[in-house]
Amino acid sequence: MVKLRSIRRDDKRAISPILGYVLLVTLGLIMSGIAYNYLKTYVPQEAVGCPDGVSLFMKDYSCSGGQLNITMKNNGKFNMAGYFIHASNNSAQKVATINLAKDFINSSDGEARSVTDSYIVYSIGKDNFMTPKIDTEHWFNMNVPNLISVEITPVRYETINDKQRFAICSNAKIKETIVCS
Amino acid sequence: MTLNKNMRDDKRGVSPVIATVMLIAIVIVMGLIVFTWIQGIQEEAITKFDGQNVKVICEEVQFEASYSGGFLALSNDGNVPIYQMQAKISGAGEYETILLGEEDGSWPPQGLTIGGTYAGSISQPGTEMVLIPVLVGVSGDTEKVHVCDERHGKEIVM
Repeated sequence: MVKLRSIRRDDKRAISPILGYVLLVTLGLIMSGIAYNYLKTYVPQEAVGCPDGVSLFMKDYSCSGGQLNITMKNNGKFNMAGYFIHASNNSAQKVATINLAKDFINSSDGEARSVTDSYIVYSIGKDNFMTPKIDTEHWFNMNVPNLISVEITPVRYETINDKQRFAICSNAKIKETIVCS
Repeated sequence: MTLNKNMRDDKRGVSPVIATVMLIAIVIVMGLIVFTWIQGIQEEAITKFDGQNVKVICEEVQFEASYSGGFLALSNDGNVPIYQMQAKISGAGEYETILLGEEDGSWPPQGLTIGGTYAGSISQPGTEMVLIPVLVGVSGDTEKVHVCDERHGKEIVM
């Protein structure tokens, strides 16, 4: 036993403590790098959404000559980019699915336009140009008869991580009953 | 005692050089195994929106649904596009899982984009339906679909 211990003490050949530390630290760094790369995908980032003060108001409407005219007002604190508009002709369905953006004609100020037949915007680039406190009339062709309700959801461009992101403001969605036969 | 004495006296064994080589070889092999395993895990991670895991994105999905007389209406009210929608239709002691609009091709080809709506009929009989969003993300260089957990779904009475 004494001899074996003596051999161990005398034998200087081994990984030097410095090399051992270097290996240990390197291994630790590599493993933590791998773990970080994997786990960082699970860290929630800032969610896309609109501020609380976004609000759109449907002031009045009229249906005549196969056309639906809606007067809207941005009565919130912030500019908007535009809105989604859907209508319903079925009282049993709580969700309006008739896309009126497809049938958009024009607005009284001539500045609104339909984008890819899915929503109405007031901007050419990624800006929010629908300013508060201004009433504008928006005209739509009424291709589906007997509309009983419309749902309007504002949209905004929000800056998130220095990128302009298109955001739907579902917290400011409005649903209004209409009678259009 | 004799065995111990023999072991102490016996100088033959694995030389330090061979032992070191073996040690390094074992470490390299183990490292490769761990590396391959970790890579496998990383490949499974589907990400969306600047590298966020699609499982986290599932929490942000918002949609509204309404069912009446065999007719289902959906609207995507959130800021996450819904690629497909899985419907788990439960009946008496059984359930069937379908993809909405797959049979008749009524589901929009680009999915239910932000603010988009869908209306279609459901022919399968049942008493309850759970609508589970299916998202598309990126894994490596390829696009992959991910079915969100049922807890992110919406229950509809039929």
